[in-house]
Amino acid sequence: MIVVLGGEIVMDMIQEYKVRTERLLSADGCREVVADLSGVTFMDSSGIGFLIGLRRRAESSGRRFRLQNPSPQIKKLLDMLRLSDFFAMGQNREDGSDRSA
Amino acid sequence: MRILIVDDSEAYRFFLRDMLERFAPQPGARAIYEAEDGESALAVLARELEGAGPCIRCGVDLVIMDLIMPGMGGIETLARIKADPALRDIPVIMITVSDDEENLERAFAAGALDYVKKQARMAEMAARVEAALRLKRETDERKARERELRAEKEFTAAILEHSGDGIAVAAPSGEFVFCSPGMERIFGYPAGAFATLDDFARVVFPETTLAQDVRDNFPGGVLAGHVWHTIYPCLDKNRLPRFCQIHFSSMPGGNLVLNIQDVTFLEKQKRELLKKQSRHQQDLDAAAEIQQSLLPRRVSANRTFRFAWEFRPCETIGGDIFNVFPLGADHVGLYMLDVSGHGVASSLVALSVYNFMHYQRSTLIDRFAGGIAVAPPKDVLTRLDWEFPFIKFSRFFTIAYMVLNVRTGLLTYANAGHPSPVLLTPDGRLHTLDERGTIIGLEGFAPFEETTRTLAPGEKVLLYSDGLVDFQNEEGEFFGERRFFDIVQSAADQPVTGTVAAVGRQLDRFGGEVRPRDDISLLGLEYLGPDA
Repeated sequence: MIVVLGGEIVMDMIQEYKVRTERLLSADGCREVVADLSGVTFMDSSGIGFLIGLRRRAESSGRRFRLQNPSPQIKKLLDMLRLSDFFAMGQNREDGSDRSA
Repeated sequence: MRILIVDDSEAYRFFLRDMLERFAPQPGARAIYEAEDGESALAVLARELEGAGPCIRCGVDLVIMDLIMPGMGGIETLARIKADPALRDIPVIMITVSDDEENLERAFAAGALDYVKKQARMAEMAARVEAALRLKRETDERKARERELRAEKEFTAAILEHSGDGIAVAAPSGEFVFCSPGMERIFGYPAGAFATLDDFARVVFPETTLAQDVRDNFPGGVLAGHVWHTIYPCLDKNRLPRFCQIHFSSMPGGNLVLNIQDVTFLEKQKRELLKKQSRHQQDLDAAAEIQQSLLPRRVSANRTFRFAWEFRPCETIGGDIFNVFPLGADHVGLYMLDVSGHGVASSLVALSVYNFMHYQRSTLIDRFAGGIAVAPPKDVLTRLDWEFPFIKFSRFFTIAYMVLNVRTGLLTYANAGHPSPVLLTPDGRLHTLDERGTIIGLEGFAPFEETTRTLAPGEKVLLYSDGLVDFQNEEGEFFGERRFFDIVQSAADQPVTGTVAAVGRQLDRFGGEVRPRDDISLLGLEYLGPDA
């Protein structure tokens, strides 16, 4: 399942995002959850926290989780926080196998 | 149109029917009924009225009736017709054999419209019939118009009666010329309780400038189409406080229309919300004060090191905290942390970490049989990582932690996702200490590493939170890393108090009155050399 995120992922939006992704995750029995960040223009630390929570939620139900297509700014932020490995971005981003929508 | 012929002579009825049909404007335009006496005439009229409803033309439109008939005579029948409100508009033409003056007088007194002689010429008779029918048509139309007007008026009155709004109209003199029933519903005063707008304003809106506002908005007469609206506090008849929104508009004739809406509920809700918000803001301000009271003394120095800091709390309280403390005789520890998000929850997590990072706690000091040792920074970060897992508070934090050996100048540091600390030499060279692990809270996802540097006397390390470089002024411009580096490099030869203060001054100049969206923290430590 690919969750396509867009706009600004900031503190004020988190609660709504949480509710929406929770609904998607509980309705879908897929093996892997991919968060597509191509439409995300800005993310604050709460946004990072949201992604960490999403990864936890996916893995606690036995699913793999990864991010794809972050913009250069988002990628820089994730690199600064040394989270690129945590979100399994390295091996998946440029191998052309993405099923991104 | 429908015409009823009443005559006891069948031959004459036939003659009349033939004449009426012949002179009809077009074939079939006239429906002709016949009756042979008064009783049956009234029966026909009543029958034709049934089911007609309040239409423009209902029932029979003209009665042509013989004056002298067996049974109920013409005069008596005519009197019955004119006495019935449903029938009295029907014009009646009487038929006489000769100039029977006495009977004719009685007929006109009873309400006859006209009369014709039995032997009248056809053209004359047709003209009289036509005139009677025209009169009936006009009467019907006038009555229909009146009914419409009445219905319209009733409809408008019903709107005003049932509308929750109050509507008042004041003449240019200030006198009320109209007040809708809604006014009574809102204020409790009966309609007509106030003669003028000034009276109304004085009693119901005592603590407002309503009357003055009207004068101010209409200096020297009313401008047609001029509208404005305001919310006023007011007092109803029981002297209970309410709020009204009044929409003023001027009419072409110079009258002023006040459309008054009771907004008490909304206004009270709004005020309650504002009160809550202000209480909430006071709470935040108090929490921010506590956050700041935890920070170390503003500047401090001993013979081996000195430090200084700048802090700008964000408007909703943030999650930054930092500290400097001695660790035994030979070391000084310093850290800066930034909890994700902002608001009270983030600041509580920051406070919790602050307590965990106390210099006498086992977080920072390893005790063993022979004495104590300063815990290596990477071990400190590992302890934090297990103590503050993301799942515990749904928050993570970044932290840079350093230990300086004041005898040797050896600086040992570890970094969990925090912006790279800056190493500044007195001659203005700047290095960023980029070795860095991931954030705190991932429960051992990746081990933390530590790095060492040896500081020469006069060299400084600067810790800062991302709020500093991400600070945006009103124009949307970022404070930025480049600006920060330039400032500290040009103030590198000063004591650390001067270097840090230079950044503070530039922050104020850059941001003006803007409160940052995230906490801004800067902590500088200068090594002075081993104690001689």
